[in-house]
Amino acid sequence: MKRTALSLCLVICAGAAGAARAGTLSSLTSASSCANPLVASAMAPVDYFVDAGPKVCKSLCKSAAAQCKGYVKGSASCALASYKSENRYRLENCVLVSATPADLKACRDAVNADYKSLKTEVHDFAPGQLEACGQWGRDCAAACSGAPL
Amino acid sequence: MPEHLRRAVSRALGVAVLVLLAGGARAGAFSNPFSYPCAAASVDAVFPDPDVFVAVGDVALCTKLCKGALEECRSWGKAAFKCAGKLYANAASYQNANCRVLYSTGELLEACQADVKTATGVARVSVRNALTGFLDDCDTWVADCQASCVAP
Repeated sequence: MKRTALSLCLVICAGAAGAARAGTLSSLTSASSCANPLVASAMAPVDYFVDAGPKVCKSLCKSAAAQCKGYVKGSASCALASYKSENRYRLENCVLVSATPADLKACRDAVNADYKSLKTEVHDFAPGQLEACGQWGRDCAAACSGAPL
Repeated sequence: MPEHLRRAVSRALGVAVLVLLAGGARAGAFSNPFSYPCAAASVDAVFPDPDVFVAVGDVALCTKLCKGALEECRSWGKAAFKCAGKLYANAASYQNANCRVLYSTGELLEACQADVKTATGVARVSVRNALTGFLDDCDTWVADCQASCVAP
């Protein structure tokens, strides 16, 4: 759990920190305004559909797990869009703060390296959250087996 | 109360209503299993103050950046409300399933499903209106941003 929270902070806090780095110009939006990527952990308990009876229960579990994955993907897309925006403004900022072509290149390289790193974090983080949705679905379906007929 | 704060409060209330419409407020065994899994849906919550570009110290660049922010703002709003629309459509399917569990046939089932249909219709209109409001706020933000570039 601690590890998940740390990973989440890496993804969100890194974006939020972007605004405080060099220069006068940085991103408009922040990944912290995107939806919480830990969708599965914010869902209803896995026995939520038990009263629907086994067959309907399993079907609802399956739908919910698929929708959960959709929301995780939406959150990741939002974060990536924020980082892309941040990258654009920080590159513009390089022009403003760089005195020489060498400074400009160094600034752009650093900004692009940060962007690449943030993208990698999102891409690395999302599969675990998709798996968490799948696990929620499996646990939910398992709980259906004990449902009253 | 300043206009932008009044708008922010109004939008926040709108989003709160949408959350209630999607949530488990209905009677019965279950409803939508999701809390609100969509991005922030008000310009005030997402964008910084409109004087964000003044520090570039170049009126032309500041104005250009303000103008360029419009598409970003609109894209955010469209994505956030697309997610909200999907959430309410999904919520309706869970609520209808619950109706069928609670009332297998007859008038009670029909009444339950009619309630779901009504609530879904309200949610759909609310989402559409909220998106329109968001896009209007984007225009206002850009206008305020450009005004701040040339402010003394």
